[in-house]
Amino acid sequence: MRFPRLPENLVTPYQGFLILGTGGLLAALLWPDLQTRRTLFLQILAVLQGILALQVGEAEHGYGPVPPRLRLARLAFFNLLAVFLALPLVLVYRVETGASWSGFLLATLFFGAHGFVWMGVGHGLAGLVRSDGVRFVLKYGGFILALLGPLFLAWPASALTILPALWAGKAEGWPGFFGYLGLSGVSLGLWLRPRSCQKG
Amino acid sequence: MILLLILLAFPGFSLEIGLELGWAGRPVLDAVNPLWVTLSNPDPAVVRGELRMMMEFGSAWRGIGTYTAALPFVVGGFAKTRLLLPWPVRAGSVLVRAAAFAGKEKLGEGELRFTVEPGPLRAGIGPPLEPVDFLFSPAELPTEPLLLSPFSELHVSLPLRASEKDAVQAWQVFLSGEVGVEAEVLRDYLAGLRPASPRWIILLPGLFLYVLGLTLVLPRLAQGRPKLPAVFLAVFLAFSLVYSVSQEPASTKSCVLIRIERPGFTSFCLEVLGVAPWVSEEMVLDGWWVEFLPGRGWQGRDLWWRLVGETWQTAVRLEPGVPRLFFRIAQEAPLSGEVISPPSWLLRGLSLPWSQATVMQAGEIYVVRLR
Repeated sequence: MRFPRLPENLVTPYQGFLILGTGGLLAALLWPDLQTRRTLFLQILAVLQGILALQVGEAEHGYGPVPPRLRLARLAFFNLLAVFLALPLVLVYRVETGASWSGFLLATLFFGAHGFVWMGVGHGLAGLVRSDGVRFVLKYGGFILALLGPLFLAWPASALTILPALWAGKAEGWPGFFGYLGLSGVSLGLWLRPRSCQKG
Repeated sequence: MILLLILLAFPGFSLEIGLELGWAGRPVLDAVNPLWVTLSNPDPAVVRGELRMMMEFGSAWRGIGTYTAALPFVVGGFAKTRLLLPWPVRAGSVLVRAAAFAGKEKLGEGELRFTVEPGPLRAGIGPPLEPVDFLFSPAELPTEPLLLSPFSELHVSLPLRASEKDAVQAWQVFLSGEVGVEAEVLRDYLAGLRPASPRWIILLPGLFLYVLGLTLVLPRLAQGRPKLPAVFLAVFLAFSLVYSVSQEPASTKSCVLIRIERPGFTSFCLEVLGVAPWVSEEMVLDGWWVEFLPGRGWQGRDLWWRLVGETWQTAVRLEPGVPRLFFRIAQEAPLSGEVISPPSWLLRGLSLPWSQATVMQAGEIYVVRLR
């Protein structure tokens, strides 16, 4: 089995994701308030993973023309790499917060879907918006809006609330979970379209 | 056909349920009031089943909780049964509902709308020497001191029997202000309890090695040499899996029981139970426990009381990170333990004459014995 080669410019984002994720785990485990302690790491990881996925999606757009299935395999590998890098930390967090194995499994699945969605956004914006500045604002502004907007509107659609709910086995997490699963399916579908192999 | 439809639309119940809450029908806010349930059977056949009472409390701002009680009953033909329950009344409570069931069949239902008294009442036992809100005859005096919690004053002008005197003296010590529980202080203490602390001696070196190792080998993925990163990742995944399985906490919650007693004066004691849950689970306590509620965040602070055999049980749904504080007044066998100087959280959490108190500790049980 051959693993896709990681683009040079993505090594640092992955290293940053790992270091900051580990820092987030330590911060969460040392947090004095028990309720924050149970959710903080998941929320930090969701933010870090979203940023990483946007960067990977954008970088992948500039990688050059490749067949859609190969593009999909590459993105799936990069997404899984982020999930697998976080997995040892999530396993430790599971036992330290007394979460169930089902909560752990659902959260891991959610991370997978979440990564695919934001990779799709990063990839799509790189093709649609030529201006670096506008793209930067749209990319990160959209991500922050998707994280914080639902909190103000009390919609169960932000990763910041979906993950803790899935972690605690609460039904409030299901709509967002399925929503992200659906969106990741859309993201996969878009990558499989032939035009995605054209260089942007 | 029309008659049949009408009959189906208005089913006749075989049991009448009457409800009365509070002394003289005046339930007091934040007190445990008497709830009388009268079951009347208009039929000759004996009726047996389960009676369920339910009351919502709170508001959209505070969060809404529910109190539920369930107990089996038997009512003879053409007979009445009167039951008495200690019922806490909270802000936002306006309605108590009761329903009787035999299996899935509803035998009867009743409800009571009420308004609460914002402050405690004054009561007298015997001929009143001062103006009072409620006058007890000795026969009406409850033997459960918790039912006296709606009163701030109890004027006794009659000689009482030993059991009545015991209950009144328990009210005097635990409910009239001699002993005070600072619930917020105790909740803060509970919030700081850690059912299981991380194994830092394993965790810190492990995480350090993980970050260092992966950061160093990740560039190999860009060079098309993924074997070492894959091995590293597999090894640390295996370690973290072993850690996750082996560190599964044996205890899912931390509990602290504080028992305040004054032997020789009353046989009752005030028990305050604090629980710091670590996982979501149901906890069942023996006895009729009531919760000290915080200012808000009442959502999910439901209590289920159920009569199992001869004893009441209180079932509570615990949510991780939400410390709960319960109390009851009970007659328990005396406990002893190692005499200690009271810890600072206990000194701040209970207001009582500490100069007259001895504190003993037996595990997570603190006995405060008043002289």
